[in-house]
Amino acid sequence: MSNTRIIVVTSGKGGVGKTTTSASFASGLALRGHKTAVVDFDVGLRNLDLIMGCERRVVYDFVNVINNEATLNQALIKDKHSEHLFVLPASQTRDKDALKEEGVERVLNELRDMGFQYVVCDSPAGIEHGAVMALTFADEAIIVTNPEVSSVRDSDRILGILQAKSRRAKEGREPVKEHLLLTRYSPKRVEEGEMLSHEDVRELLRIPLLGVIPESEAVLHASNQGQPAIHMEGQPVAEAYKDVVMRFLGEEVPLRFIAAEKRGLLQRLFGGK
Amino acid sequence: MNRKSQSFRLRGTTVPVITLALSSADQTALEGDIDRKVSEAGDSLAGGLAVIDLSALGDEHPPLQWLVAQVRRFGLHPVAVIGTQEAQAEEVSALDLAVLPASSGSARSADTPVREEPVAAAPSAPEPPASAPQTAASARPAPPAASAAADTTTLVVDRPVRSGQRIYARGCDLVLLAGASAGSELIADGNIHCYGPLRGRALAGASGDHEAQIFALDFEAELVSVAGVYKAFERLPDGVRGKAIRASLEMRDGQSQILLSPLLIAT
Ligand SMILES: Nc1ncnc2c1ncn2[C@@H]1O[C@H](COP(=O)(O)OP(=O)(O)OP(=O)(O)O)[C@@H](O)[C@H]1O
Ligand SMILES: [Mg+2]
Repeated sequence: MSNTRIIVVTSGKGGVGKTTTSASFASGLALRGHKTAVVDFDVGLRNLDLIMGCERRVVYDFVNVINNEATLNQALIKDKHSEHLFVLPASQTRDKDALKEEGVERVLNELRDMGFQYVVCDSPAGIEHGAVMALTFADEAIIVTNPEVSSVRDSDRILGILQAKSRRAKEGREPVKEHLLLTRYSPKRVEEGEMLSHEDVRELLRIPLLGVIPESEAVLHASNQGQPAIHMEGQPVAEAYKDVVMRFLGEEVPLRFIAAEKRGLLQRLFGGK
Repeated sequence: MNRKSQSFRLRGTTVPVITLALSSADQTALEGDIDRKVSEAGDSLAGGLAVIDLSALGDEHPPLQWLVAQVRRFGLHPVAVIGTQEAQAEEVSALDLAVLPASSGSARSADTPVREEPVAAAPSAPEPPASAPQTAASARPAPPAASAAADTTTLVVDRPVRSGQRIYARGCDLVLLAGASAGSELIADGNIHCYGPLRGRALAGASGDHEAQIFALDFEAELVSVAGVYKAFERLPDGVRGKAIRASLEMRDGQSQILLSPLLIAT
């Protein structure tokens, strides 16, 4: 058996940047030479393939594989940037109940047998069936959170569900490893007191911080071009995602893009209470 | 609490214990059945103590570690195993469980000896009173210092309690080592001690103990309650928020009310 790591990208709250993160994180792992699959669990919406720019090549999807209507090999789409990255798209036409637990487990085991080092699971929003399926088999979880109270609360909620419903929890194995990823971070708005600071969020959720992704218009441009944001050379958001991948792989990388730009002025301390 | 000068007391207590009595060793079947029960039970059993009874099974039984995990899914706190083979004694104690003697046969009867009372189902326990969230499945007077079950007078939670989670320390104190998030619910029949931030709803003395208290090093609770008398905070007063605080009941004008006072008293 290979030592595949299954990583769920989840949040509870919708629209916080899970798909953006799944695409960039998986691409980053592949850029570093790791054989990676990114799986879209958001059945019914089918977003990941657009962000990955492979929507025109979707013939079979995750649900087809679960229902044995196609093989995994037929459904996996090779990424246009990296030979190490494959996308397993979601179905647009089914509902979330199509994700049967045994089926999901079988597909993940097949990915394991195919020698994938990392399987990144892009979770739908919410705490219902689809989100639970995405986290059930996870070894690690990236909790995508925006610096605002409602997002933090939902992240907290999903952490509780991870503790209760993951296989690791149910089998009494070592718990799922939790990582906090702050996205859409605007240092300026933090300074103006309109947003929580990364210290605030870390203090509220009490899990290790994997990174801070700045708010950036480049994300929208990237998705219009069908490119994961990590490929936007020179953009802070791309650099921040690369840092996240490095930290995930165990390297020590200082936080960047967390201070508002203010030349010649001492940066103010964030969010002191 | 109204303690004597002694720093502790040893006393026999009656603590309700839930028994998971296995009638099959088939893990798949068990898992399916337990799945169903867990979703039925919700968190109504959470915080209770549990004993795993293997005495109806032969030599073959699911791995103990797995069984312990199953028991935890109910939110129950496993304390002992009944009917385990000699050979497993080491595994059992490695899991920090007590070994209770097996019954003579596989069938349990009403005239089983006193020591097996933890598994004899009683319709209701003498303690806690009816106001407890769930009626206990069984109870036994614990012989002092006889087993781990008797020593378990505190429920210790070492991970953060998250929003939407509910912990119930039935018949005992609740100790939270990693705090509790906003939106969590912490209930104890005894005291609640919180070493991390206390941001949820904390209800001590849930079955009526007016002497119960809540101790928090970093007090940010949404609500506190002692013996049903509660105080909700839309906004915490400045002198309280994030401070080390003790919440207790005081009588004022013939009415009990929640008193918040500094936890650390200068001597
Ligand atoms: N760092 C960022 N800066 C600016 N916009 C961003 C950033 N990250 C994500 N977005 C935008 O936020 C929106 C939601 O992003 P995304 O689809 O990744 O979220 P999601 O959590 O997957 O949503 P859902 O819950 O619907 O699946 C998109 O329009 C995306 O372009
Ligand atoms: Mg998405």
